[in-house]
Amino acid sequence: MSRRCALVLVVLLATPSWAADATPPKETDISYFYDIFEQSLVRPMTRLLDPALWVRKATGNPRQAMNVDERDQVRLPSTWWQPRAGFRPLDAEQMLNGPGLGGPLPGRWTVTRAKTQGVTPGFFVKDPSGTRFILKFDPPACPEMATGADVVSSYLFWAAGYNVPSNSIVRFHAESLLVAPDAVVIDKRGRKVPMTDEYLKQLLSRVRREPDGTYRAMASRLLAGKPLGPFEYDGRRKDDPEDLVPHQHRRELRGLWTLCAWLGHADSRGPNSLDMWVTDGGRTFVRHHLIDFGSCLGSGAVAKRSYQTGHEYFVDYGTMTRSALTLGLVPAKWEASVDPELPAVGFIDSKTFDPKGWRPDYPNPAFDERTARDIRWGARIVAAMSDSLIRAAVEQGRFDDPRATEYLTKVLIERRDKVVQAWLAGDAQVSEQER
Amino acid sequence: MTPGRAVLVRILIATACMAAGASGMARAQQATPAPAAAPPVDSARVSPASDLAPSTAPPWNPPEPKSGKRLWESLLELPGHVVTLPLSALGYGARNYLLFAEANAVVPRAKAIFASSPRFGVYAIPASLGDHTGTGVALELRPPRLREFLTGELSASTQHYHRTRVELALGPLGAEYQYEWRPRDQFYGLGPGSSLDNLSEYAVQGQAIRAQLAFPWQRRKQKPPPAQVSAYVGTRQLVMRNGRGAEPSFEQVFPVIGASQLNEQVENLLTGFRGYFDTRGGKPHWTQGVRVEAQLDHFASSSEKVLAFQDASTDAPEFTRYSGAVTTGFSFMRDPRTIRLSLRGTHEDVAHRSEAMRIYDLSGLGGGRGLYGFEPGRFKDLDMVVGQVSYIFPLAEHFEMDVHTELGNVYRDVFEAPTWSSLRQSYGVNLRPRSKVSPLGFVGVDWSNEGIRFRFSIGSVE
Repeated sequence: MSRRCALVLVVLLATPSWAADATPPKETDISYFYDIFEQSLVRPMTRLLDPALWVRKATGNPRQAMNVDERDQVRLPSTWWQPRAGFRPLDAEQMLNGPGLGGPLPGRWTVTRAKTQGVTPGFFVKDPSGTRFILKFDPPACPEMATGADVVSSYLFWAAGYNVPSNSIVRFHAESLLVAPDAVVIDKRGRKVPMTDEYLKQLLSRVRREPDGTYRAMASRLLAGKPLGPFEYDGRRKDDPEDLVPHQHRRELRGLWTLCAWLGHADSRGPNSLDMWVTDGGRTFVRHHLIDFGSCLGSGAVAKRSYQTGHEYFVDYGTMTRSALTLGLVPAKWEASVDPELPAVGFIDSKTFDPKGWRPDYPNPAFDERTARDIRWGARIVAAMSDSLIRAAVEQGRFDDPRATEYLTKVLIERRDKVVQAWLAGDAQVSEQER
Repeated sequence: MTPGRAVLVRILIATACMAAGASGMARAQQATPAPAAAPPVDSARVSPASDLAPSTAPPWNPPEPKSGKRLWESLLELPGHVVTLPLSALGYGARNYLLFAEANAVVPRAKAIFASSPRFGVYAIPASLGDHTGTGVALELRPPRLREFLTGELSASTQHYHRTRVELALGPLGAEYQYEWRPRDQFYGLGPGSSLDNLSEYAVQGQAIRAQLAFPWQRRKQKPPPAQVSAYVGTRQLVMRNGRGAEPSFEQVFPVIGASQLNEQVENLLTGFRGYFDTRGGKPHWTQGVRVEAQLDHFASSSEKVLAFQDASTDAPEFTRYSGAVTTGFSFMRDPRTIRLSLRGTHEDVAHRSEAMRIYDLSGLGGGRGLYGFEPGRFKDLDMVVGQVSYIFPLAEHFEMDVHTELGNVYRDVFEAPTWSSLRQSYGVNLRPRSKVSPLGFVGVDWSNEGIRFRFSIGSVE
């Protein structure tokens, strides 16, 4: 630990003056509602009427990722992705140490402000060492589900090479929380008001209390650097000189589809990402992160995932047209699913998982541009997720019910096998249609 | 997956893991050569292959920013971009507004303001004044201290329809007062053969007061009981006025009817009985069960003068209305596909002054009252019968479709065996957004041999 601190100190002192003077790109934001509207209604319509896309489809000439080399691999270095599973040896211990330094230190945690974004209740805390975390909780009907999914998925996405926050499960007593004198909360009318003990008490009253009087939460260590807001899955951050490839044509983002399919990350969208302006290794630059995995696996954050998740978009014109033409008489794939009835898991299965047709909640521009090469790139990473890596990640969910750990491990292994079977079994032959 | 395939997959996974271990480092490094034109990468800053931490080295980038499109793609898309420029501007505006709204918590603030309305007991909801009444708003009044007993409603629409209602409830006992002004309801004439060419409009002004005894009674904020019987008594005052819309008024098109009804105030003593039982249930729409409903209303002549608002100017017609409805359905498959059948009928038995039966009091079909593919008020007579078959099936998680057909018509006497050929047919398709537990509304189209009608509703869908 002390060596790491010393190293950080050396790096900071050695940081050249240009790095300190570097101007960060402008902060951006994505409107949740507009994003849903644009990706669900506007962009599908635009794609439908796009003559260039017709030409590309008709000639079997999709646009391939732009940041790959002649071996079809991501050109490195990258501020988006680091080769790990599938490209380098990776064991469970490395994975568990990978994302960061774990949860808050024991002792008094100072609550600094309430969480205002997202759908789950939560707040920000500082541990005795001054390290800041955000604490998020489970919906009362599904204890352990959202927090477990967030932690398990963050480890697996880290193993896959993506930049993620360090997430861990913590348990604490209400008495260990102390509201900071300057802590604020946004009230129902959008005004900043001082946070009170009463507010905290009310918030905790909406959270399940364990029999031993503790509360379970997911502690996410705040990322280092200055937040610049989420990245979009298309276009570029034009004021970032290191962002010269349109995001929808980045292999790491197109190939992310395979990982999201495997982990059931249907909430993979711009607002669940975060760019940070970091100073690291003597440079100041933008690092791109995936965040908020509370809607992965079987969790829908506030309730378990619906059986349709992964099979269709929120507004799925193709599915709706097919159903309308057949009068709904052809059963949907998800109708054969079996719910494990494990509240800590929510709903995720392998039986009805379709590794070729999986869909997020609503269309993602980078996923829409994916080609078979991008998917195979992702499948290679999924294939490298050994049983032991999966089990180690799932165990970090700290599920009280051992059946939840067993079920989730089994389902992830089976889903992985389906991805491999679908995309790597005939690896040598990439048909023209699949290119 | 067959055992053979499973073995193959396992081998592939093992190979991938081994390959990652054996040659991952070399491959990762081989994968990094920058093209000649790319800015040089400081190799000293590139993380060693054994370092799994995020790289701090300057990332690979092309010599200049890449475009998302090739030139030929941009040229092909140019006309589309030009044509949709206004939409793009609209989208840009919407995006910025929504960003502003979300950053400034406009929606939570608005919700908080509406949520505070219980303090005043005022709620704004969409009005339900019927077809062709324009866009309407209803203000629902529930005084905080009396909300268990007293509710009021003020509805008004852009077509100048208006309704005021006050309800008192005390356990099984209830009382209700209603005043209504309908300025331009449609009338095509009497009987099943009325002609489209005879479109006219009438206005009606009415008020009614009644007392009711119901068992079991519906508690506030609770679902209606599965079965209920109720009896009521009251008085009803009605006057027909000339239509206030763009179409000719009814007394111009139907002078005989107009002569006996226009501006002639009638008042009836109303006594009635209503009962139903309802076993329907299921989600996301009701999927099985049956609902049976029967109602009897006796409109006595105003000469009885009991509970009368005032002395009426003429003798009112005296009649009894019998209404009945049966609805049932069943479903199949996991995401329910439901077939529903319903049959409704009304018979009016006129004891006195049948020629003076007000248009408003007649049984009707067309629009929301049945036979949706026909204009509201398209058919009017003493009796009516209408049946509906609908098939509701899922389109996707959040949408379902309702395909339905209706058969029915109005008659002078429904017991004089209406012939099959006299029945009018209407067909319709509705797209219904749905939650996990209920439909949220619909938008749809209904058609008949007389035309096409577009319909929508927010809420109020079974």
